[in-house]
Amino acid sequence: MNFQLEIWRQDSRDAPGHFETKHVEDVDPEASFLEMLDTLNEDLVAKGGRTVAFDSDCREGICGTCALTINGMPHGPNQVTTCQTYMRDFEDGSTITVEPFRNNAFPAVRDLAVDRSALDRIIQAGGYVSVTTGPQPDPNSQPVTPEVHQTVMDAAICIGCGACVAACPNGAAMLFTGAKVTHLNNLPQGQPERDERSRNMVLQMDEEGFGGCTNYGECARVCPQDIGIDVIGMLNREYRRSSRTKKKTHPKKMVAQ
Amino acid sequence: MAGSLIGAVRCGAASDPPPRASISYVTPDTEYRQGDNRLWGVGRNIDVDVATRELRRRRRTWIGEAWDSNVGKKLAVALTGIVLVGYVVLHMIGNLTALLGAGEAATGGAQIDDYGHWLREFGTPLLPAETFLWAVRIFLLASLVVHVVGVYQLTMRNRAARPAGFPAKRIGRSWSARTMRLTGPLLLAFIVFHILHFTLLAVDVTPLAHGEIYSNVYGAFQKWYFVVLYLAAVAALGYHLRHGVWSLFQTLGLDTPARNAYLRHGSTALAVFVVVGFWMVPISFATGALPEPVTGPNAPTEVSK
Ligand code: HEM
Ligand code: FES
Repeated sequence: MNFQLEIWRQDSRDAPGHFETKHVEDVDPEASFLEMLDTLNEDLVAKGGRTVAFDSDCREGICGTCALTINGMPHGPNQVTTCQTYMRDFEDGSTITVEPFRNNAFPAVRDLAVDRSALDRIIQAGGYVSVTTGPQPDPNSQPVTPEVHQTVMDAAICIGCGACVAACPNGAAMLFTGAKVTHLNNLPQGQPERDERSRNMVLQMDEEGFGGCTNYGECARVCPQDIGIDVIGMLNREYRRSSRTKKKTHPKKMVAQ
Repeated sequence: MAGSLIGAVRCGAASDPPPRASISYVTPDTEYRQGDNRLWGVGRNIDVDVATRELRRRRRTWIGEAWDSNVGKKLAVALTGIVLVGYVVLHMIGNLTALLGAGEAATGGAQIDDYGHWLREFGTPLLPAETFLWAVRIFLLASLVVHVVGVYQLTMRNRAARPAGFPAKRIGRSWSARTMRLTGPLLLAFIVFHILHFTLLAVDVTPLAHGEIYSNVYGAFQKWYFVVLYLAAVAALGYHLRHGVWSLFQTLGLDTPARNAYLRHGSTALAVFVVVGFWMVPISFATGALPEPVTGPNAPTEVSK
């Protein structure tokens, strides 16, 4: 198969970027999109050009490192990660636009690679649970019903790729953060920090410069893990709950008169 | 990557130690945008001033903190949206009294005039006339202001969050959702016009008089352009509500997978209900289904009879 690629090239975070046209020929239809880029890079090295920088790691759809916007769709046409997107999914001879995940909270590193550590900082803000080192409570005293388990697991499968952020016209990170809050706030282990978690994660989202949700639901349409917008409802609910919770203060003291 | 971090376990205390009350300086590579009184760490080197940030976070009242955050601001938009929707539904039902006709000159004219009078007099003799009316007006105006200011600020933040010139591809947002920022401002313009027209009686293309509601409306809807304008404005309202009413449930965190279909279809039904209800009035007047007024400036004079 032959393709014309319009690839985003950008030397560094502050350098202006532009699209560059590349041609790839005799591509194996069974090659993954990343393998196709690998062959392109080998050609570029052979010719002495600068390779196209892009992120990838596991290449089996579980780590969330690969992050390309292909023809405007974060990850590609099929609601799977870029590494699980195959060249047979594209029309022979077509032109394919390849861009990074675009969001101002994701500063460019080079070409198609962006810095998504803003998402890590959202996790840092609330993605932990307290564990006592002393005697442990009886497990039966902290039951997790199958329904809760299902809800939590459906959110915990988030691989943190950031496709939801790239898809959002408002540049919001609500699906991602919603998944984290749904995951931890529904489990017994997550209860001690429940309200602090919602507040801190929302504050962190804002401070990173992510936008706000307008309930378009486009994030969920590109999520390779098929996380639904119910986690956004959960985040809204948990935030509403937490914003009303009184912070712990010292008990009032009486004064004589 | 990011997903794996969530398993990290913090041993020991259940809550954070109190923030250090030290003064820390904004580092040169951390630029702050002072948009609506909060800090935005654009330089993303945020860890440096954890202490200042913590102090700022904790000093605020819960309502201030909520209004500052994108999630909380949207919550305010949703809550004021409820007020506005509630008003719109009551207003629509009130308008339907126009369909009761022109009444008899002997008994003081149309039902809708009496209804308007009743609204003005509501609460008397306990309260001076129009007190209740003004309380509602102020409450509605405040809700509208919060709604519009919230939406405006959120829209600006949303613009700032994506690189200019690279809008996201449209992947399935509904037509009504996509046009919220069009139907919203249209509604605002219409609300201003509508108040000038029938409340302040400042758009006197057709003869208008205080308290002669039936006559005023009858006169206006003899002109095709007023009919078109009102029908169009109500259609915009319908689109706004089709997304808006469902959206407010999602924003309040009340939508769940089990309820989703009911809420979505319910808000479509509400939008249709409101649109049809409001449309009845101009359509009835324009088609001549309603009689001429018996009082007011549009009532036919003895001569013309
Ligand atoms: C008759 C008056 C109005 C009613 C009944 C109404 C109702 C609503 C409701 C229920 C929502 C959904 C709230 C949410 O989910 O957060 C909403 C959102 C919205 N309203 Fe209004 N509204 C009215 C007037 C306006 C006006 C005058 C404007 C603009 C100038 C406006 C702009 C918007 C926008 C842009 C949104 C979408 C917010 C978003 O998706 O982020 N609305 N409205
Ligand atoms: S490289 Fe790991 S998910 Fe694609």
